[in-house]
Amino acid sequence: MGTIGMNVNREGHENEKAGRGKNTPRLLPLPWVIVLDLVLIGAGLIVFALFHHVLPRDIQTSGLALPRPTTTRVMTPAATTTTASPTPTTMAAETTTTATATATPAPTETTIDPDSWTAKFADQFTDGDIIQTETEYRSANLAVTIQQQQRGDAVFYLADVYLSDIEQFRTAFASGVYGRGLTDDVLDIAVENAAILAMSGDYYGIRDQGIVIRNGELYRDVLFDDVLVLYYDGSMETTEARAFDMDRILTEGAWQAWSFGPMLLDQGQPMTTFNSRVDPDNPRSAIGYYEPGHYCFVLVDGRQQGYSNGMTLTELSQLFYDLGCTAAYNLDGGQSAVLTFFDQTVNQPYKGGREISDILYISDLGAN
Amino acid sequence: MIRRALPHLCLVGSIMMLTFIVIDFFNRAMHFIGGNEVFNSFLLIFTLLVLITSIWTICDHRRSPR
Repeated sequence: MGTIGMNVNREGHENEKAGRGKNTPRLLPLPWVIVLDLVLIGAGLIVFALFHHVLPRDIQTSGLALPRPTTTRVMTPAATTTTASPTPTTMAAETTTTATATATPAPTETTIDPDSWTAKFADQFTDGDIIQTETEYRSANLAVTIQQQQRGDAVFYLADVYLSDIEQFRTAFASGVYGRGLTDDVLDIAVENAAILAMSGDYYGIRDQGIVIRNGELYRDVLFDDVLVLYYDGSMETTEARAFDMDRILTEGAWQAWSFGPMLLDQGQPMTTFNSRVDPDNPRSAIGYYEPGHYCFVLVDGRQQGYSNGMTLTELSQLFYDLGCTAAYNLDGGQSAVLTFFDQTVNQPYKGGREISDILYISDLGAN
Repeated sequence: MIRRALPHLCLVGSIMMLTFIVIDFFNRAMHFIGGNEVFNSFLLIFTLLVLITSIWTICDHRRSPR
């Protein structure tokens, strides 16, 4: 009986195989198919990310040196933000100063006086001694003070900076060279460059677009969203992409240029709509401009319930307006937002921070 | 084997594309889509996969009796 049962089973199995056909492959169970597809999706995304922004490429040891002008830019006192004119006749992306219904003061042009900031900010500098504490650095050439403040449920750090020379305001790349996929901790880059104060930059290396001008050298001239330009004369300007004029900023002497955004003040006024959708509460790093030689770095901690939830772009814009800045610009925030003072991290970065491709920093070493 | 794998590869590519679209929508700074050689290469491969799969499927439909 047992043998007969085995024969029946064997015949049944063979009939089943015959019904399927000799060349018909066995199908995987559906759950396994789903798992396999998900694994392939994950692998595909990882491979894409590797080639998109992880693996180093496009390495440049130096950029195109830009000429340093001998005169300041011609600008009106209110011309710190450049936006595209709303009138149809100027929709061809020309750069315009901020026209309003009121009369604009006549532009002024002055020759750069290297001692002008030293005299203007004399009350911020020392007579020669160096004062250094955990939150302050003052010398005869530079003043940096850091305060921790709270606004609502957000803790932020305000670093006030007075310079005597624009070349004290510098930027640095991870690994010391320009290139996609090159990253390092903000603190490590800062220490390598003897930075007094340093903050996350615009993470230029994560994409292949965005104006990159660093320490007077042009590395990339592909436009991407709002741009922040720091000129040799110390003035700072935010520009919407559609109003950006590369030739003009090169002619007027760009010292640094960043592409992350969005700009946070429009003609010195707070904004409620931005060229960005990353508006929810987040850690933020941003830079503010008062006047040539006077700037501030703002670092907002966030995503840490019970400590700091972060700020929206609207709140950040309002903060810079309340601080009295005439221009402000958002840089890489989130987990990238890190502020350092000498060899210490000042803020509490979300998840300890992340490696990024560049920093902006303040140095008391003067021109190299 | 290849015929069985093609629809799955198209599905993988579609999900990847949707992922890029969503990420770029919320965070333009990532700039996954458009203007970079990596995405252009991915788009070319994905397009070819869809093209081959479509042609094969159409041929199968025409060969199969109703």
